[in-house]
Amino acid sequence: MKSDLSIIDLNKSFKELKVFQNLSLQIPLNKITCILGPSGCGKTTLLNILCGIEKADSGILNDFSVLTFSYVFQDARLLPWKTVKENLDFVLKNKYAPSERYGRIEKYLDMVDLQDFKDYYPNKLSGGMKQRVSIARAFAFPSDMLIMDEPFKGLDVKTKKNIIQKFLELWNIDKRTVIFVTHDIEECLMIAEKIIVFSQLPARVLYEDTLNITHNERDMENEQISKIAEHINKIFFQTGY
Amino acid sequence: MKTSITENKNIYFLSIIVLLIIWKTASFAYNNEALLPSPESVIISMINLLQSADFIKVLCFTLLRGFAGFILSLIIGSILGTWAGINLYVEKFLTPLLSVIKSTPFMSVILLSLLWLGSEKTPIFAGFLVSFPIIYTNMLQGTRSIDKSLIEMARVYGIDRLHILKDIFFPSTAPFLFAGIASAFSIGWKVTVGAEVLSQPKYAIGTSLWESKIFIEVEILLAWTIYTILISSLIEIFIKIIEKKAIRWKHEI
Repeated sequence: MKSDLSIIDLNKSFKELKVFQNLSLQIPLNKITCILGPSGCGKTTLLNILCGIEKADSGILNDFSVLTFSYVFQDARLLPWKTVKENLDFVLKNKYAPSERYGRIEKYLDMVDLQDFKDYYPNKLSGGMKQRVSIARAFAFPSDMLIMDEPFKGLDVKTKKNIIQKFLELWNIDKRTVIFVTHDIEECLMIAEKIIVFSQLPARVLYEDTLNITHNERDMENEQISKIAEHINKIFFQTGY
Repeated sequence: MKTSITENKNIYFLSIIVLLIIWKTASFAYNNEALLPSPESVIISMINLLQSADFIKVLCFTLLRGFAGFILSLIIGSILGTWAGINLYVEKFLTPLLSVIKSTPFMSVILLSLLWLGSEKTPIFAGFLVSFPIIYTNMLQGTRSIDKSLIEMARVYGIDRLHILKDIFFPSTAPFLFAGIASAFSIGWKVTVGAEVLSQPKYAIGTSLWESKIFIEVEILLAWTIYTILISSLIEIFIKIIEKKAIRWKHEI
């Protein structure tokens, strides 16, 4: 039985700016952990450290170095000179034989309802569609961990709901460890199994909780959820967010 | 879309016809076939040249020199441009050199090169020297324009360097490089022929231009000039075709 992932005494600063000072966190395996916090609280920096884009000054990351990652960025980050299909193929090239790649691409594009758009170039797609491609790419890639950095920012309410739905469908079939970062309380409560609330810099954990409600029973009317929402709002209010 | 292409072509032909009419009128008015020959007599000279024994040799040698200078500038310009695009120190280091190259009169370059490299290599060197800064500058901008977030994405997904080069670096810089290639070639080509006039290699368009001037065969001078222009335009069209294929995605958007 593998144990949870842990971050112990993480330190990171950019020149004078202390982003993390002895930050410690537990990330449960095969669950969705949501990190909630104001913008500029070091969420993206944390993700970058976890997947190796940036280096921490000190601290123990136990054990992220052996993991492979999929990443859904705030912007879709698709290659504009490749079609939707080719964009998925780009990340799968080193992982699967061509025939297997083809099947995988078909399957995941189908799951995000983009089968008909597989030969389109990204510039012809709407923001929501691009983000769906980005999510399909993340799931099609055989990673241990899925990192999502405010993936629904800038999408309208309806599109956002639809994409969250798609994401949860995919995740329920393939339960990877997910770290999901957002500043939106409602978004967080619809998705998270573990919630971690960050303070402003240097980031501390203000609040931690687990949610054991199945995803399709969740809405803001739910008693437990509205209670947590109220609590988090209170914390944010007290810390001046 | 289709109508605009035919319209463009019509305008293109119209401009050539207007040019010919002006030429014809001028030669008619000037009334000195030896100094300003009419278009017909130049066309006849062109046909005569085409049938002459050395025509292909002259053409091929000049083309070879043009290409040699161009390929050199393409290779060295791309490598240095990329390097300077990645590393600010390299760019700073190369900036004075580039300004020297750009502002030296190309006649001085040709005369010096004649002394140093001899008559065969001088046109190549001169062609290289004028096209190199163009390729370099374009490649520098192209490298700067690469979206770093895409490279970050590729790294997270564990894509190897070779594929980052092939699928991100080349497509990002291709539009810049092709813009550079088109103008670098046409300028390099003109300077190569110009340098041939001074350096007088055995077989060369430049040498032929010079000889026709010596013998006051203006219609032959003009005939060679038109061949030079035609070759340059043909190669430019060829480059455009390759460009369209290479960056097809841009045209489909």
